[in-house]
Amino acid sequence: MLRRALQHRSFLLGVILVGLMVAAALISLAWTPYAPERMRVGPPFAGPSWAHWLGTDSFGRDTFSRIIVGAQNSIMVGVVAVGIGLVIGVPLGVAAAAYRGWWDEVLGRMVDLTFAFPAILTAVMITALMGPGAVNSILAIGIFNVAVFARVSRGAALQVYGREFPRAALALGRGRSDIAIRHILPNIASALIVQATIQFAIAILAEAALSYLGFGTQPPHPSWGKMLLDAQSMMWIDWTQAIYPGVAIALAVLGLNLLGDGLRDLLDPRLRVFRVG
Amino acid sequence: MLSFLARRFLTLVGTAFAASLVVFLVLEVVPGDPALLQLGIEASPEAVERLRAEMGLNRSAVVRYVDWISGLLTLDFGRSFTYSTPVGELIAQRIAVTLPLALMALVVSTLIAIPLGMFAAANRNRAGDYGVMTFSQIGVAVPNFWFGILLILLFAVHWQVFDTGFPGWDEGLFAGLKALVLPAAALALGEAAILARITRSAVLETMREDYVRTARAKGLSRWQVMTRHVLRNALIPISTIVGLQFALLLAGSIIIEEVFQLPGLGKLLIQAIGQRDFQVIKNAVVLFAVLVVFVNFLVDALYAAIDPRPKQA
Repeated sequence: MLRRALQHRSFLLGVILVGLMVAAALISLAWTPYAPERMRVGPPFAGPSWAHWLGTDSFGRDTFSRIIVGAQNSIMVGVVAVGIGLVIGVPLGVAAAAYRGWWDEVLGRMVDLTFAFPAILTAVMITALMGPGAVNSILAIGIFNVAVFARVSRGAALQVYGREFPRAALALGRGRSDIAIRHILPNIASALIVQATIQFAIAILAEAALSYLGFGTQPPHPSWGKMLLDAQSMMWIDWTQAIYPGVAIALAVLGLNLLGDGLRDLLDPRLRVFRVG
Repeated sequence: MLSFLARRFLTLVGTAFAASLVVFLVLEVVPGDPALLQLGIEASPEAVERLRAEMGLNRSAVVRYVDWISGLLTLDFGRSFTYSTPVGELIAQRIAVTLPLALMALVVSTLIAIPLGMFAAANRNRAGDYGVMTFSQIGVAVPNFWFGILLILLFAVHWQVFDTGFPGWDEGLFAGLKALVLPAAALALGEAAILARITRSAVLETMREDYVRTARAKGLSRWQVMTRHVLRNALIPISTIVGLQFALLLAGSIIIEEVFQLPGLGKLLIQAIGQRDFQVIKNAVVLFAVLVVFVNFLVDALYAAIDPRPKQA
């Protein structure tokens, strides 16, 4: 397995890119070249230099410091939004596969209903109701993930329930929840891991989009989407600032997607990844 | 076939109603007092009471919901509190930007993705294939709003061949379409990247079929086999994805209209949220959801029409 992983080039690239993002976030917890929210640590719109590796923005804030602190933000959003999806969606999906009948039907309709509202629309509606902010945007992305994980775990669990060993376990007198935890979950874990990686990437994109619209992380805390919005309004003076946050988002998402595709190849090449925005 | 479509249509109607109920509950019942929410907590009780009366909030939630839905069915969307105009008029003006934008993006995406996917499949595991797959990975990873900013940077700021904003259809079809070129390109990138990948795998799957080998064996050229046999059959799964992408493009227009300052439905929704104009918000959100559900129904119908295999609900 390890040898196959080391030979899988796009998987390795994914590991490196995700590793870089995590490292940037961890380092920024302990150290940044400048306080990311402090204005006038350098002249406004300074180009890249030894003092400011990626230059400064219109307020003279250090862009490199803001980019690496922004990685914290993206990782936090991804982890919580995917966590919400896993914790709520997987039990719902597995239960639907185990019990079938009306429960399965109701869940199916609810998932369909959630998908009638594309993720960004759900997020916009929740923000309209609860006001902008990082927590509300995570919640909105999380709700969408619940539907995704419910559907994926239902499909994967149905396949496992169709095999002989869950039926054997039932014949031996094991309880339904016992079978679900001991036999079903371990067998659908690879599908969930791969999907979680993809949803992580989608969460980062969605959070950046919401922050760009002004609904996500609020200033002065740095987020890549908000940095792009600020940079766009100043693009006629300094276009370079509109480049770095976009590159950061694209590399993070690229890394997670490559990691997800690589994990699928390594764990179970027959898995179908569910992609929906 | 007909019973399949009838069932799908019933599901469509059911989902649309459920969506309207969710929107109503989320925006009008859960917050407690939409009038207070709209005016803010500093508003005087008299002003809140006046708005409550104006919004009809003194009636029960059930009556308001039934009222709203019967209004929707006769295309009466109520009045916007910010613009003091019928919401229906606002939506009609704005959808005249959003629908052409999403359609144009769909055309751009399909025209780029299908040839790329076929090219990749025909050159499987060679440089061309790797090139297309790399484009696909990058296209999925690049946020469409950042790509939009880069397009503005290049074509509006640097080369100055395009303007941002929208002149309106009154300025002529060409001016209107020209203003939508960059936004449609920005919107199309991600979908084209996904569609190219799906086309590649659909074409590869079809190329493994016996009839393709037979066609080659009877002397048809690679190009003839590709266009006459492979593409025609691969188009069945591809057309489903193209349809589903239209729904995603409609949703994507919410952010792209903000990037390019286009006066579409998405921009209307974002402005309405800023102004806390709930009458506009609830109608615009439901319209988006109904469009998405309706497009999915059309895709199912199309799939049922072109796929000869037996249908199941």
